[in-house]
Amino acid sequence: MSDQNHTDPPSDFALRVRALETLLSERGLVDPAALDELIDIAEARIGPRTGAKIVARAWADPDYKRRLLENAQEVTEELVDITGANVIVLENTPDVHNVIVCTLCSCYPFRLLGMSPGWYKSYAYRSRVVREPRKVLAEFGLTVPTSTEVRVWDSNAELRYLVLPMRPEGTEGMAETDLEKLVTRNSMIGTGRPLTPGEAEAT
Amino acid sequence: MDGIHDMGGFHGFGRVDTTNETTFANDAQRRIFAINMLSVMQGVYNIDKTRYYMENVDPSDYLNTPYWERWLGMVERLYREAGITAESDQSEIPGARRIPGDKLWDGFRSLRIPEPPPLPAPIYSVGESVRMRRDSVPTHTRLPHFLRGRVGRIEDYKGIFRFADAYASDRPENQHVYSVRFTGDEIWGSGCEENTSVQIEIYEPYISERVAHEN
Repeated sequence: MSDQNHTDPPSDFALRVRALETLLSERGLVDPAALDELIDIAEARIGPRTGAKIVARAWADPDYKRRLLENAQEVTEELVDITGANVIVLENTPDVHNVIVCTLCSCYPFRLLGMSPGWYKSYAYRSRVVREPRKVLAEFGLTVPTSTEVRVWDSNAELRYLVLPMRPEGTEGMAETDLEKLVTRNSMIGTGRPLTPGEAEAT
Repeated sequence: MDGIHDMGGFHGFGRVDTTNETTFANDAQRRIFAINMLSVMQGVYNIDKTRYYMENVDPSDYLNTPYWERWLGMVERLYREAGITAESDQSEIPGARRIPGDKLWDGFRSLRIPEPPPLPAPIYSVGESVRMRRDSVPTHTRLPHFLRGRVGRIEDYKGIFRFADAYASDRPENQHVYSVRFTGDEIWGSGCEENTSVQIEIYEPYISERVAHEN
């Protein structure tokens, strides 16, 4: 994919997008302000900090965690100003490591994690993580012992998944706001682990 | 449909570029994302149809067209079919409504999936082993090819959902959905990685039969 450079003339792609938007707004079918609003939502109002808040609360509050695992849609709103519509939370344990993908297209829990990164939509990730998840996780620097099942969730229908990573050791008594800083986006996809307190301090 | 989009398990795509964090590389990509999302929210077309149109292309075009450009091609086709073209003077799309910019965020943030109408009781139960149907369909489906004919265990019953296969062809139909787990060995045979599995939502019509427990 070639990035646009400001000194280049508009690409065919950019011209087609502009023509489409002009057509739709001239016909009164879309409000250009609604498009601006959606872009602002995508880039400024949704993001992994929302998911991190939910994970930190689940680590800190066993009752919240129990309700979150039972019905994420109902309880995400207690904490964040966006509903986790159709989200299922998957708890990592010493026995099971969860990881999410969409092999058929690019489904992603974007309401709670923001827009997906390029690699999540790549052919390599989509084709391989269902077949050789351990190799793929190793490419992310994550080794899961063979005594732990790697369970790959293919988001093929209406549900979206958010991984609840295991709480790092050495975090007993930490405040929820500090726990939040340990939660990485990849740890909520299953392709990473949360930071340790030491790693968080170093960043 | 048996399309190139259904790529789970394919060999040859190489290492994952784990450093590729790019969501949007330029404004045109932002605009086509927003145009499509707004069109779905406005009811111009449904999300299952967008997936059907995205995958229903020449396989080499699918592979060689950048992500957001595939979206553009899909949106252009959907509006063309709805009669909205530079050549026509049509400005109405039946069933669609226009969402003004200042109303958008409230609707977006408070989205809830409406309760679907009831169906007769589900056929299968949690704990049963079931085989996926083997036949492929020429139209949109959400059963990946690598699970056809495979046996999995029903881990959970998720409720009644819009049936993507039907909605992709503008046919409103709902189905029971199960969460089914397949072991790596069942799917990939002896070449599979140790202690791995795939869990996925299965609409009831994807199941061909119950399979007796082996233990």
